Amino acid sequence: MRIEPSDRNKLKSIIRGSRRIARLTQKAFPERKSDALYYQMLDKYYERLINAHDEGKIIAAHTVFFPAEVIYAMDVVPMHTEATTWMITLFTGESSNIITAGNQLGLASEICTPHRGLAGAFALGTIPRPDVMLWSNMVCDNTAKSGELVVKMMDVPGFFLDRPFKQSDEEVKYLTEELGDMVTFLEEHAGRKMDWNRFSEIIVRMDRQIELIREINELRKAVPTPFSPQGFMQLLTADYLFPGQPEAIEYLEALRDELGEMVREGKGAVHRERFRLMSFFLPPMYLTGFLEKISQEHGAVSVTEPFFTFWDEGKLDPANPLESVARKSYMIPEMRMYGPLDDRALNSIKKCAEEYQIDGAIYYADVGCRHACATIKIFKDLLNEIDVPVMTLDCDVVDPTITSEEEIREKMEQFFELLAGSGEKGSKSGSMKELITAGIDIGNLTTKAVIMRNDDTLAQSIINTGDDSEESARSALEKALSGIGLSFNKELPIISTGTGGKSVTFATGQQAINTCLARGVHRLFPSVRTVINLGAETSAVLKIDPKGKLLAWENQDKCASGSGVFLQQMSKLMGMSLEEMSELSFKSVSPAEISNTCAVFAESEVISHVHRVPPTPMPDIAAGIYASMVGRIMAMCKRIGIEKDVAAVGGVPMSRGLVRVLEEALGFEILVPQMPQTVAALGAAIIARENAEQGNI
Amino acid sequence: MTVPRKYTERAHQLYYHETIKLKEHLEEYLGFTISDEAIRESALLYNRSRQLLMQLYDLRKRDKPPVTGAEVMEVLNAAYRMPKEIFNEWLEELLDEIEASGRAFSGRARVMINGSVLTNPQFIKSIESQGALVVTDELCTSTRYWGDEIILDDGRPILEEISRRYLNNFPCARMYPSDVRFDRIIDFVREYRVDGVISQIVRFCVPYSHDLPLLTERLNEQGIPTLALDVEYGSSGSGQVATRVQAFLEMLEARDK
Repeated sequence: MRIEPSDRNKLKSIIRGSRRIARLTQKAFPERKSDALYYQMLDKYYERLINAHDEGKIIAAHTVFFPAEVIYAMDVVPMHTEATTWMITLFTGESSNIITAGNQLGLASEICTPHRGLAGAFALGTIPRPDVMLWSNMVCDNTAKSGELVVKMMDVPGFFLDRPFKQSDEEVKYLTEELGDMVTFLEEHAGRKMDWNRFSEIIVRMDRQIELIREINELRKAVPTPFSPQGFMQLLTADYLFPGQPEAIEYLEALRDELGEMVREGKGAVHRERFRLMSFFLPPMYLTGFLEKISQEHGAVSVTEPFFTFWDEGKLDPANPLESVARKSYMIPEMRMYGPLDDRALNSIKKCAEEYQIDGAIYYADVGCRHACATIKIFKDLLNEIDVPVMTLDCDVVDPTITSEEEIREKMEQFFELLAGSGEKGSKSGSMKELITAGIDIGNLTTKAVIMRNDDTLAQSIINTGDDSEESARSALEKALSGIGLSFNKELPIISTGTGGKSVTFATGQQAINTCLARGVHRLFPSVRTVINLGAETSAVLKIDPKGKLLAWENQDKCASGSGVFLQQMSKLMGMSLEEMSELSFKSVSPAEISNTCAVFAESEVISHVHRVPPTPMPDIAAGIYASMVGRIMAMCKRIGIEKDVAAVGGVPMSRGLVRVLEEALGFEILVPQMPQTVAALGAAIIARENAEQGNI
Repeated sequence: MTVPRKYTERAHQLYYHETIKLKEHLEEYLGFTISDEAIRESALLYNRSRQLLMQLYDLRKRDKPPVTGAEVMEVLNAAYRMPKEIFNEWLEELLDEIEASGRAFSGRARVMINGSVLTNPQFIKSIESQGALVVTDELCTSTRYWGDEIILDDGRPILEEISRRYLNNFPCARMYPSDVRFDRIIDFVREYRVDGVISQIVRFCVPYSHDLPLLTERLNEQGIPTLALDVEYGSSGSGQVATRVQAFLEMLEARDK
């Protein structure tokens, strides 16, 4: 393993960036002292790190949630490896170099980017070589493992702190003794003794720090809430970098006072508060500014984060600093998420939902965090029980290639629509004069247009989506209109939707795809409560109420496996049309086994089935391909819960063979419209009509 | 249960304590007490399975083993699914049959498979169909499952002996330090005269992915080439796997010349 010499300039870019922001905020918002203090904290942390060796101090690198209080008490300079890595990616924009360097060390892509990144950052010399490496299994398997690689790669001594899973007295005792060993280890390498008085002072301040966060939490209960939409990340950083330090206290006190002032004046953090949200896990760091912006636009604000800012009860005892640090590790909000998910942990979610009067919750599902992703269903079910919708956003905390701003905007706006209950308007039919409306759905592969007169579908069209969404939309619309002898005019109410829906400038409005699907299906089959939408590149399962209002959904758009494009690829590989493949599958005796997690692997599996001696019969391969897709679809169905009746829409359900396998998996028949691809466009046309009616009344 | 990640005496005591709690919990749930005698008897039965599997693995150390890797995987699948009483009886019979059969397999190279969970014999078959002979393995479902016996004669309470065996046995990648696991892999390489190691990394089993760069380095230091295969759990080995194994074997053969 080749290690580059460390380069102070990267750390300096954090310092320069923080100073600049601190200066700018001081000038622009002199009343908001806390913002400047926050950036001054970053400045100071990295300044101290750069100067550590010049001042004769040693650097202790440590993983996230590691008890840095002990490091401070020893007068050793801490370096939070994950936070430092993502600060650098944030301030230098160099995430891809760092992640690639991690990959080059041989770390597999399912290891989360913060940990692949920190190994890469060490290898590139982006972060300084520490004198000792400290790590623990707080909070996950990655933190438990990444220390050893650093120790060997950087050739530095290391200490692994083993923290037990639960909080019994024996386990707290075990952790306290582990901490004692770590103090011995640090004393040996720092060449000085632990300053127990200093340690006790830190514990007093840590207690105060937790108290301040609790006070801030109380203030955030106000309507409107005073704390900025994404501000919770800052509370987290204060604890990451300065646990039990005067800097954190100063920042938190200033923040508390400012929030208190705002609450007294009835001021909110967003211009017009509409949605009070609960957040789970980490939003993408590189989108902090964007998330702030979209929150302001829609009046959405995170008011509580049960597993990030909601500390468990308990008080620290300065007379027993090591035991206090051990006990604190069980009070940390995140540790409840990674610890046993008992009633106590789950009740804290419900408690937060009620006390903070939340309207919905956003789950930032970091694709590399198997722990965080494993809890999605549990939390979702829990919140759905008390009628709180939850949106899952697939994203990555540092890698911008996983989710774009546009994707997040689309999903968030869809979610805000759901929270606003835009599905409830309903049509006031009968009172209206004749009205022609249109809906256009610009998909990844095809563009669909539906023309309606009142409640009747007059015409529909399907064309291939071209490079230009607007062009495609116009062509599809004109094709549908010309079929009934009409042509485009500016008076025509049009709603556009789908992947390219946003770029249709001639439409009178846009609507998110799931709302349109819900409305379209409801018109065709009023008994349907679950909609399975299988498009070219995305699939989703929607839950709708008896009025056709969207209640919840599950999405899959990060992977080609199980999508329409996947199916197309497979039929090409088998040298037959989609229709032939579908027909053939009915003759299958024992479906072939095909992986359902990766489209690329599935392709080579199909090839080996074809070339096997003797070859797997074609009908079995076809049925096997459907079964692998259905496995994916069923996973989404189970996550959201199936309620009858069920309809399948989108291009994929045109394959009867697939529908049959899906029906077998579900155990009952499903409804498939005659034109399953045009349902979203139909819904859009219906919404166009409702909007026009409301405008007219 | 809390399972410590270290092998220290402190960790053993904590895990012993957890094991006692598990037993008490079971007793409360089942409504009867579990006697030390019954536990000892059960430990003997399980130890017998371990001894028999060791005998099976000893056969693989021969120049021309009488069993293939895929066949051993079938036996292992039976091992953790069947009642031990019957399994032991059947395995004894099987060992006699193998000995009497006069079978002898050889291959282009002696290969060890390591990694986390693997239960599909087809996967090993797809490696062996390329001419490799899988002579040993280091998997959650193989040596890590049956690897070490419970020590029954050093005067500790039986439950403590069991808890010590489970914390000490062939380590999972979650344990610290990883060198304990790596050392045992290298011992295996010597005992079974392994020419190359195939690491099957089941996606999302990150402790193994984290160990891979370090293990690869350790093995390369010993002159043992490695091939890492990213697989899905349960995969039967695709054309892609076959191609990569083929290339790996060619490389091993080229080294011999």
